Amino acid sequence: MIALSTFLSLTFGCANAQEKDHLVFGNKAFIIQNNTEIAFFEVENYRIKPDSQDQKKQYVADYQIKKRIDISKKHKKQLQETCLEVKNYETKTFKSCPFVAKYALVFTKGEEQIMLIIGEKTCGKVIIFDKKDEKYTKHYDLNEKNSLEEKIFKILE
Amino acid sequence: MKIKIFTLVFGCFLWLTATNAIAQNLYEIKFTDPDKNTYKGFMVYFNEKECYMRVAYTIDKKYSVVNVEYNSSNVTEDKVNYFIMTGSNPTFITKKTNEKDSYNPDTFIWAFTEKDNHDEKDEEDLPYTSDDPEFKPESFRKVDSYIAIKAEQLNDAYLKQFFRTDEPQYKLLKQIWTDTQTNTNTNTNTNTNTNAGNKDIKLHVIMVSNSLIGDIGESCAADSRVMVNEFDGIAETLGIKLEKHLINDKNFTKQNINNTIDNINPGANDIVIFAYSGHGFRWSDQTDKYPYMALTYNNYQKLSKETSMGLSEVYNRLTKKGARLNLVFGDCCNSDIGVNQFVESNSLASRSNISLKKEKLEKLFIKSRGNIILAGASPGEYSYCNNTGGFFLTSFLQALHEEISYLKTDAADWDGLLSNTVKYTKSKAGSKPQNPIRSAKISYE
Repeated sequence: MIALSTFLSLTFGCANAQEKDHLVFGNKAFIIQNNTEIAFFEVENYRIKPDSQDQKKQYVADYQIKKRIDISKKHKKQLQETCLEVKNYETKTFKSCPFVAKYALVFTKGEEQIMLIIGEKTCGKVIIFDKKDEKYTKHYDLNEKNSLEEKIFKILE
Repeated sequence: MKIKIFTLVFGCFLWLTATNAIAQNLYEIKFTDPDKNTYKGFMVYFNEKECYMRVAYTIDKKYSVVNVEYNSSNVTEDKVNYFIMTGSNPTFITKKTNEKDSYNPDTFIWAFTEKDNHDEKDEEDLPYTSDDPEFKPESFRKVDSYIAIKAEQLNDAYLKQFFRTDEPQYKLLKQIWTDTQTNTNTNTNTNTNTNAGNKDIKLHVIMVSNSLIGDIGESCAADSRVMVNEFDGIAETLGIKLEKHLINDKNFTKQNINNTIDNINPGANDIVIFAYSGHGFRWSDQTDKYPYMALTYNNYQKLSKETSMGLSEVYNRLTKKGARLNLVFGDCCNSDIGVNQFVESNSLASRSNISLKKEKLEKLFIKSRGNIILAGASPGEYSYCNNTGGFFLTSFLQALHEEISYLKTDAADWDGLLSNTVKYTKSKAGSKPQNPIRSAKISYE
């Protein structure tokens, strides 16, 4: 079959073909690539609106943190690489199952922060938040054989 | 144009879906080859796997017509979505001048980006074509025109450009034109309302769609638009009354569904259709094979008994109301949510469809009696969608259009329609298991 990238650029002259933004994280991928800190949490299933949040508790993207999970340097590196792997994400279709949050991965670089809320394995979805930009929020299904959930379960073993 | 992903039913013609023309399946495409020869194609589209085009052209003063079969597929790359129709098996309808005459089947490619606005058709919407078997990018050219064909255009002169008069396809297509003329004359001369007998029948449509939810909201909204358009068209075609109840956006709540079900009072000859497009699941300890609907529209809302409802419950409540025909659809997952049921208890046929045969539509909606419940996935399975709709509801509409089409010679019945809905859903899901389940008890007058 035709190489569509070539077809795209030659026939349509579409700028998208030339852009090098990450297909999942767009122009925020650098926060993951060049992060200075990675934090991993187990979180509550549903969000809590800011005005209802308990000031004594900590939240990630309005999901209350149940516990922080310590991860080694090696695992941090693995999680960083796995998150950036486009093949882990389904970009064409979605499953019609409800998102129930389970884990949060937070990548920080200076003032910038990208938060991945990973759902229960029964549904396999992820929501990506940018701390500074509410409109950035992205929803993806995780591919059936994604390595992100696999890595997480290995870390938790 | 807009939309991230194409509809699998008729992705290339998305601009048409916005104007209630998804059921149209006859198209004309004109294109020119690099040697300036012009070609006129007449396309008959049933579904992704069943489509053919008659291509008429004149080269060296010799008029030829070729039949080309088409398969279509969707591809997304760099945020651009392609709908690709690949031609194969070209056969000459006209006599070949010599045995060496051949025809390279053409490929057609539509490209859509998120920025596109489908409500307005312009030159940008035209597809690209090539007959290069190697698909070299430089061989692709924009077609000259591409239009939907209206019934009035299917006269003898038009059809004879593409068909021999002894072909069954010619006879079927000609019948569309003949019936159009008959209806026009009848209405003009006698002002008879051919639907007079149906005027006391009411079609009650309850369309529930989770249009705000972050991941599949766009898909659900598309389902709602297309389904409501479809039933608008069916009611108008059959001359029956229509009562619509749309439950979406922030009205997407269990209470609103309950109120709507409680308040509808169908007559004994009425039709009730409940269609749901949204998240679905099954409790870990659930025995009912049909899914629960997840009635939350953001992730601040907790899933509980108060925010969920079984599709079976809807079916049981509606069928007790005594309508002649009840249809309940759930396009949602039927997969285990990982929680037990009680743990959480604290908390076208549209008016523009020229290939529609009204008698077939009447058989399905006026001359049938009984109850149908359908869910988009079997227990344990996911139900899939893209941004233009759920595979299951899209497949239902596709099967409905085929069932009532002039171009299919079989008699219409619900069993065939539902079997095809299941078949097309499986086909769209591809390697992912999605097997709709159903129960249908239907009799015909």
